Amino acid sequence: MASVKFSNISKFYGNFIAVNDLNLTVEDHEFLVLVGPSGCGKTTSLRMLAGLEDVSRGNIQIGERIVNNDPPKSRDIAMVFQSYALYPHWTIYDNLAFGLRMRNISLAQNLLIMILQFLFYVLAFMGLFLLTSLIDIILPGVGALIFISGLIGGIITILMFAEVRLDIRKFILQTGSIVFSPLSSIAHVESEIETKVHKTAELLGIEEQLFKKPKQLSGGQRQRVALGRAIIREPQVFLMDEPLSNLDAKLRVQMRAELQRLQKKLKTTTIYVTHDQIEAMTLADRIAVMNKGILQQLGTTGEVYTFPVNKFVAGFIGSPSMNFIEGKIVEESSRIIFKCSAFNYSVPDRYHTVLKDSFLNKLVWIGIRPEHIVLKDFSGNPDKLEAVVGVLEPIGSDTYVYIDFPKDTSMIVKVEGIAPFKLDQTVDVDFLPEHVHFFNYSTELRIEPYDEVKET
Amino acid sequence: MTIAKSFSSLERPRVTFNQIAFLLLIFSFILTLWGFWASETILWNRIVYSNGEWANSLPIYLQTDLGILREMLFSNIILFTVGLLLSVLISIIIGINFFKSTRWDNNRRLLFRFLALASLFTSLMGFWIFQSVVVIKSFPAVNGGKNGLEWIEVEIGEYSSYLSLLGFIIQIFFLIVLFVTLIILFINREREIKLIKSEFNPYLFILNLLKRIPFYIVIIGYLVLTLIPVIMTIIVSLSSTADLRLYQLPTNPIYSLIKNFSSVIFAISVGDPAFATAFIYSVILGFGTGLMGLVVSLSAGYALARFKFAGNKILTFMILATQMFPGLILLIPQYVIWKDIGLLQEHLLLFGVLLAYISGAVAYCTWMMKGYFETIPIDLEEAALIDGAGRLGTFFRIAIPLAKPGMVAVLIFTFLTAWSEFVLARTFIGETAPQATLPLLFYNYQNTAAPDNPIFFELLAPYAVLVALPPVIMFLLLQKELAAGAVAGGIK
Repeated sequence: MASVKFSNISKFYGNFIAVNDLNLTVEDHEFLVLVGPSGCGKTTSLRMLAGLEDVSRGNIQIGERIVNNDPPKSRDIAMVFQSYALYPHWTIYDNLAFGLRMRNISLAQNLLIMILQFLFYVLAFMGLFLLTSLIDIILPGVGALIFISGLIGGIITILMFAEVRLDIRKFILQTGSIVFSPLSSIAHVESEIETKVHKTAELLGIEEQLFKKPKQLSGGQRQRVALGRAIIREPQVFLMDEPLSNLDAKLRVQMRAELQRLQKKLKTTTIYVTHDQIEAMTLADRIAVMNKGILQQLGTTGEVYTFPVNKFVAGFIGSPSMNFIEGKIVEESSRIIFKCSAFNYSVPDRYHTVLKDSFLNKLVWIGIRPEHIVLKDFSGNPDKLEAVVGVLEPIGSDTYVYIDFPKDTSMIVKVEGIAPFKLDQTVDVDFLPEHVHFFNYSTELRIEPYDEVKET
Repeated sequence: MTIAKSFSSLERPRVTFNQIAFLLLIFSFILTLWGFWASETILWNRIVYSNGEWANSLPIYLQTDLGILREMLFSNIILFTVGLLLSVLISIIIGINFFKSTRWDNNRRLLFRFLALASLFTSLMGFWIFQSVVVIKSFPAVNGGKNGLEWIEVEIGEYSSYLSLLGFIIQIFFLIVLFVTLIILFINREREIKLIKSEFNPYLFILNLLKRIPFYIVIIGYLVLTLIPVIMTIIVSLSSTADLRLYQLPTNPIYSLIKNFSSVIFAISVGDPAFATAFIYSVILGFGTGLMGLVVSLSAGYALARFKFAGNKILTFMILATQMFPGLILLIPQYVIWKDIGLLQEHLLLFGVLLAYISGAVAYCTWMMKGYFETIPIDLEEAALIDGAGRLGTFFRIAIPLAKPGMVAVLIFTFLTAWSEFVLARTFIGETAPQATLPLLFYNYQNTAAPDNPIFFELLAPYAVLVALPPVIMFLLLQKELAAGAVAGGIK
């Protein structure tokens, strides 16, 4: 386990800037989610960390080591791909064992195993031939019969059943190590690999699938194998590139929870890339929101949700997304008013000083989340905002109500349960004052009250 | 964890019923084929040769004693019995499997086909056994020993008739099983059709047929053009010498078929070393070109498909450009160069021809392999890189196994190029050299015919079939690999 540090990382493709001056530190044991719309540079960052892309500028550190020029195999990381990338020509067992074998068995040892396997098959053939020749002397004709059927049966068995091949490999190593001492270390490594594979398979519930090929598995099982291939190596960092996006909705929710439990159990530093903000918010210890190659905000789910740093983050995080309306700040009879074409809204007290100091008679965005708007039956009170119910979208637990203000301004409101409103009904609209945000019109940064306490 | 299940011991996947049946079927096929071959050798002895090229070789029973034949027949009988018993076992397994459900999935279709084939094989076997018994009965007494009839009566006795009876009963059993399965197949086929078509409308049917007539005409015309050589070969192989001389259709096709093929098979195995040599040379050239083409095109194709380097696109185009000229314009320059280097000396001749073939085939193969490597998802190789393999390890462990269908295509393409090539071989090797390949050998057969030594066209036809057989067998064995789906399951 180790921390990961991106310092001033940039990536250029010709003139196109994919990642622009990324500074990010992922702490040890942390689950960090990189989230953003497609093409925002999150996958590129991950691939640079994995060593699959070159770094144009800046340094990447894993632990204390700068890994810019290391090949992927010496970075001690494991990656789960969006497409799972299981090796289709191998059984699940071999898929899981591949990483361990590559690291613990050298090329020379591998060649030795291959030669020994070849020798074994030759010896087996000769043994069968000799035995059947002996039988043939006693019972002419029968020996030949046994020979040919044994030969064909053996070949077909070895070709068809992967577990038989594995058993032969184990047998060669175990018996061979008695005679030839260098083999004993390989045999030891192999038996350790076997234990690990079984342990991992048990952890993920794919023990019964160990000797199947990837195409015989369902989507969820393949996902688990891909996960298992990463965790079996006990790497310093897990990289996950949208691992759940190929699963159906129900399975995705289930796997999401499992993934979280697994990470809490293994405590391996994890960097998870997704474009799905719900996945990001549920999984992450910290979320890093990216847009157009630039890191927008880094923080816990609560921070990102409650104190979005700018309009992009505010709109990206949360579902349905935040309502934005542009308007002017004016002062009327010592009250600070947000004035737009549809309504006048007197701003909450905590914003008074900051808006009065810097934004008087300037354009700003007001931002309010759908769940922070309260609708009530029309009372006729002139201090209240009023709007007309345009569309009702019940989803069971909540109802999304689209309310229309005059002059083509509309908002989406989340009402708990089934909303007691009818279409074209006029309603009173209340913004919960502690959840109203204002954004600078030109820079789109959030306007922070002077005495704001950022606690979530 | 909720998903974690604890298993006290690892449960291995069980071998299914169908898998056992499949294995047994293959055994029985091998056994019956073996027996078939043994009978064939005996049967050959019956054939009296005309004054052709192979007339100087005596039938086996005049060269050897009866003991060998007795052993042959004995092993033949054992094989036949075991093959039959296995077939019965298989058909019982299939039957149980089959009557458990009436649904026709692919497995059952496959098994049904195997069953049909098995019964065909066993019926052939019965025929050959019967033949060999008759043949042995007709043996004269040699070297003062027993003649065939005496031998059958004393050594085998009633055994042969029991055998015939057993074969007969089993044949009937097979017929019944086949009949029942056919009926069920027919019923189920009706059911499947009902799901698709609502009602049979004769007018619409005729209209559709009329609409398709131009299409069928084109197809049939094409088939006639392409199949005429094949049909001619088959007709010739069914004719006797007299038929061919008189320009008439085969008068006794089955007799001629057996005679021609048996003569050729025997000639190849003992009588005609020229064919065997040519066959070996052709095989060496075919597989040599294939393997060398594979080695070059695998590495070159992988580099062109996966690596970005200066001149990649130009290089790729230049490789393609070499294919834009007809290969024959290279013939004379190649001959001159090869001669100058000394590659046409007798001990290097085969290597020289191999080199010429490779130079012709490699460019196209590189393009094929490049195209195939591009279809393999790069994710798999990246995963291997992260798992700890180097570039070379990824190439050997991931890319090459996944490129198997492409490799098969390349192998078949290069093998066929070399196998059927004539012009280059004729130029480089010459007509009369001992290194003649199969196409050259045929050419020689046609040319060396003198008035007193006429060509036996009816024997050349089985030859042609035998020459065409290796590529056909290759296709049949490798077609599964050729079909797409090697990468299935790896991604998504």
